[in-house]
Amino acid sequence: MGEKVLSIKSLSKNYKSFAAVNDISFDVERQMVFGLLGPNGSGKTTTLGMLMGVIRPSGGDFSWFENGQNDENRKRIGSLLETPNFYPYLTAKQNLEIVAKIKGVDSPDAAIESVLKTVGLYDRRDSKFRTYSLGMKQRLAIGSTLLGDPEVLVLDEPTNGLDPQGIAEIRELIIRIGKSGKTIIIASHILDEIQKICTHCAILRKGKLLQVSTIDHLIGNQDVRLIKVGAGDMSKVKTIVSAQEDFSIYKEEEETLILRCTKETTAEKMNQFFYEKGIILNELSVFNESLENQFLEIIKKS
Amino acid sequence: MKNLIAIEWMKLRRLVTMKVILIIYAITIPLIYFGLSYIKIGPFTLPESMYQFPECYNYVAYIASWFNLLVGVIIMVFTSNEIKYKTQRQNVIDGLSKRDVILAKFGIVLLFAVVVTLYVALVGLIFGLIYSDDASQLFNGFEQIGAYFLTTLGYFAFAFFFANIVRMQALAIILYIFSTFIEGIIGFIAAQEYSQFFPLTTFSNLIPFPYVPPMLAEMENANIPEQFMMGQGWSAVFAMVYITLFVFVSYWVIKRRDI
Repeated sequence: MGEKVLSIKSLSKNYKSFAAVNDISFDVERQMVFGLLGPNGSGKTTTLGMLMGVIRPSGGDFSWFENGQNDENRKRIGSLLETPNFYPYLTAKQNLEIVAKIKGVDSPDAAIESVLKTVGLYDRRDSKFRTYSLGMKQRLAIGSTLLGDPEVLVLDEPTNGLDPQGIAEIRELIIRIGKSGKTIIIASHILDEIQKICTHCAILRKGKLLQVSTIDHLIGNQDVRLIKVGAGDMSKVKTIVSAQEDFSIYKEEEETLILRCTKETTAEKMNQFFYEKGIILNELSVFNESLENQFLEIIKKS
Repeated sequence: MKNLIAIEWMKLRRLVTMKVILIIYAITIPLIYFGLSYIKIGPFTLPESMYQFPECYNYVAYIASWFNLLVGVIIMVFTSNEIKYKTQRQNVIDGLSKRDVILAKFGIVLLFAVVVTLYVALVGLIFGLIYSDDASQLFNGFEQIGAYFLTTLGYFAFAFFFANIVRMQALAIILYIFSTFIEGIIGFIAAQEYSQFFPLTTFSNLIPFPYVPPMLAEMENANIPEQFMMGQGWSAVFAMVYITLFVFVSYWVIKRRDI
């Protein structure tokens, strides 16, 4: 067990009779890159809003750094919630000066210069925020979260509004920061993003927590291997498989079957097995389960 | 607190609205004060003593009090900007407590009241020094400056309170500008006797009109039925109660609200 950075117990938020967040509990430990995954309106932003002191919880409790809900905690966290919020009549540099002052950053000028360079806005540092494009605003917001080298980053849809190149850059940046040993909590509805960036993941739906696990556990299933097979006569394949103990049907698709096998089963062995049974496969591949499929499975089950 | 004011000043110093309004304020007040001596209303002219100690302070404070609403617009814009740009929310996310948010803004409200009051005192002092024969009377009538400080603080605290309650900037500014009229109308229709206790009336009663022509004064004494009228002292007490209320209600509302 690592050191707990965040601990959430039965956190809830009701808007009138609607439960936006319903009895959520989980812990985040140091150095985790923790993904909060869920469709739009599943309560991700509301949860982060409560954790960041701007939304009042209706029930439950949370604690940062095992120090309760102390306002000072947030000075150790760099956070971007929903939209980039800055003073439009001030320049990027002046805006960051305010953030640095609030957070009590040592030698703010050097820190500001460094984060502006990191997010590629140093050349535009003296332009007013209102002249920025959406992507630049988002990058400034991410830069702002890095100010003062905080222990934890809380990012809500950080690649929102960025072009493909920007998305790749920001993901790269987040992965790099995660590897440097920082704790990151990131909310997204983009499964691919979570899969690429995170080590751990919580799945939310309609305000409820469905599952918390490591990404590897979620998509890896290390002790089994999935193999996709296809043949002319699929019904015969099915009969053979159902008589077999080594593998079973994981999922049926139109012209193929995905089989759950032991780890030792290679595609070669599988091919040989069916050949001996008198079946010529027209499709054979090792199947990598994506988070997307797992996610849909979990959502379906609930 | 020093840190909070420093943060607010970083936001405020480049606000164009503030610069424009302060320049208008600084130029208009001495101009109007000077121009008053040329104005005749029917048979009445204002006495020459209006530029001399001790009356100069009362006159300049009275004129300046008409511009409180204008300076209040700075407070209004500054406060509601934070809601409009969601920077109030971001400030809290970055680590300010909700108490800090209110305290910082009230610090600015206080600062503005002090600056504006000092300016008015200076204008009064300069006119007094130029037109009075007896400069030893320098601080005679200076209590009017104290009253002016409370009036401005009252109007600014009201603007601040209003911006926090009515969270739509345009609506808040319009309602704020018309609030004196609205309060007047409510008072006239609903509770004429009690209207003197209403907040904005209280603030404006702090600085009485400095000159009542002798003829009018007699008429008033004869016509007005016996009724309690709040004096300057009581107005000051009520004003302080209102100011405290505005700040604490603002805090209470923000503390409870999702921002």
